[in-house]
Amino acid sequence: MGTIRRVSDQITVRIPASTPHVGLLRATASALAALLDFTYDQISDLHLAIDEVCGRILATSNPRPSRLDVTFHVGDDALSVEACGDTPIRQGEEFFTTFSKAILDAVTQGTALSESDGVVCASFRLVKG
Amino acid sequence: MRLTSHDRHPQLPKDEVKRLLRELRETGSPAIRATLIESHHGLVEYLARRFAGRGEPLDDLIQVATIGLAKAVDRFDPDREVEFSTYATPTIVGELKRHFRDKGWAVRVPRRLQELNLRLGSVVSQLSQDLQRSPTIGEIAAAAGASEDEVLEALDSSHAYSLISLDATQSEEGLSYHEQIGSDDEAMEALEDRLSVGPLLRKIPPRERRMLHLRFFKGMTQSEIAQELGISQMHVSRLLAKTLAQLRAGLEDEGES
Repeated sequence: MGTIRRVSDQITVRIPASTPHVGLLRATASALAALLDFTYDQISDLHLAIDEVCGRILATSNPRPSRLDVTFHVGDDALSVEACGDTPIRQGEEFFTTFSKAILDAVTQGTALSESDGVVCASFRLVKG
Repeated sequence: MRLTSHDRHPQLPKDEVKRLLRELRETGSPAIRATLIESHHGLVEYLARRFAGRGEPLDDLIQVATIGLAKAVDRFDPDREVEFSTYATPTIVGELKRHFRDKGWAVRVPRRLQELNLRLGSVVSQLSQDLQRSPTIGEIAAAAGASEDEVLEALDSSHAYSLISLDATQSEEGLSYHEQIGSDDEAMEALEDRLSVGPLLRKIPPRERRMLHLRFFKGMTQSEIAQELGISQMHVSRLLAKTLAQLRAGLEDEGES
C-alpha cells in the first residue's frame, strides 16, 4: 500500500447512525491500520473498540443520534480514533460501563471522553505493537 | 437440550413422529418436545449447511435452524394431512433467512472474496505460527498471493455478518437459547457480579465466556486465545465481535424494558 503518511493525517467519516453503515468505519479503520502495519490481532481489536464506543454513544444519547462522526488520526506508529454523536448524553448516564471500560482498557492504550453542549465524544488510541 | 452439531440423534419413523406430536399437543411435555427436536437434527443440519459459506459458522447456523425447528414443532397441527418435515422445512429456512437479514447482511459477498476469506483463515494461522506473532496485512497478502486491498476486503466481508446491529435489538432468543450453564470459574463469577452485563454473561455459551474472560480480563491476545482454545484466530475475532454485539443488544433491551 501507499506510503503517504504524515503525523497530521486525519480522516473523518460521517455516517448515519445505523448498522449497515458501521461497516464503512471498520473498512476505513482496517485500511488505515494496514498502512501503519498493524497486525491482524490489532486490527481485530480496533474493530472491537470502534463497535464499543459507537455502541455506547447510541446507548447513552438521548434522543438517538442521527449520525456519527468518526475521526481517525494517523500517527507514525499509532492510530487515534474519536467518535461523536450529534445528540446529548442522557442525564446522569455513565458513558462507560464497567464492562465497556474493561474492553477498551484491554484493546486500546488510553481512552478519553470530551463533552461540549452535552454531546459526548469518546476517543481511544492504539499504538502499533 | 443440546444444540451442537456433534450429537447424532436417531431418526424416528414417521408414524412415531405423528404420535409424539399429538401427545405433545395434549400434554405439552417438554421431554417429548425435546425428543422431537433432537430426532430432526438431521433435517436441521442439512438445511443449515445450505446456508454455510456465507460467513456464518455452521454451529451458529445449526442453532438458528434449531430455533426454526422448535417453532415448527410448537405450531404443527397433527391433524393436518402433511408430513411434519414438509411443514417444518419452510419454517426452518425462514428462520435462517431472517437470521441473515437481521444481521444486516445486506450485501452478498462476491464468491471471489468468499474464497479468499476461507483461504485466509489457514494463512493467518500458519503465519502466526511461523512468526510467533500475529501477521500484518502485508504479510498475509504476500502469503496468500493477493493484494493488500483484496485481503482487507475479504477480512471485512468476514466481519460483515458479526456486525449485529448497533441499533437493532438482537432477538432475545439470540441469548436465551443457549444452555444455561453452571459456572465453576470463580474469577468469572466474581466478575459477573461486578458487571451490569452479569446476568447476560451467564447466558453466553461457555467457550464465548471464556474468550471474553481471557481477552478482556486476562489480557491475552486473540492469537494466544486461538491457540489456547484450538481454533483459528479469525474465528476468535468473529466470536468476540459477535458476543459483544449480543451483550450490547441485550443491555439495550433491558434498558428499554
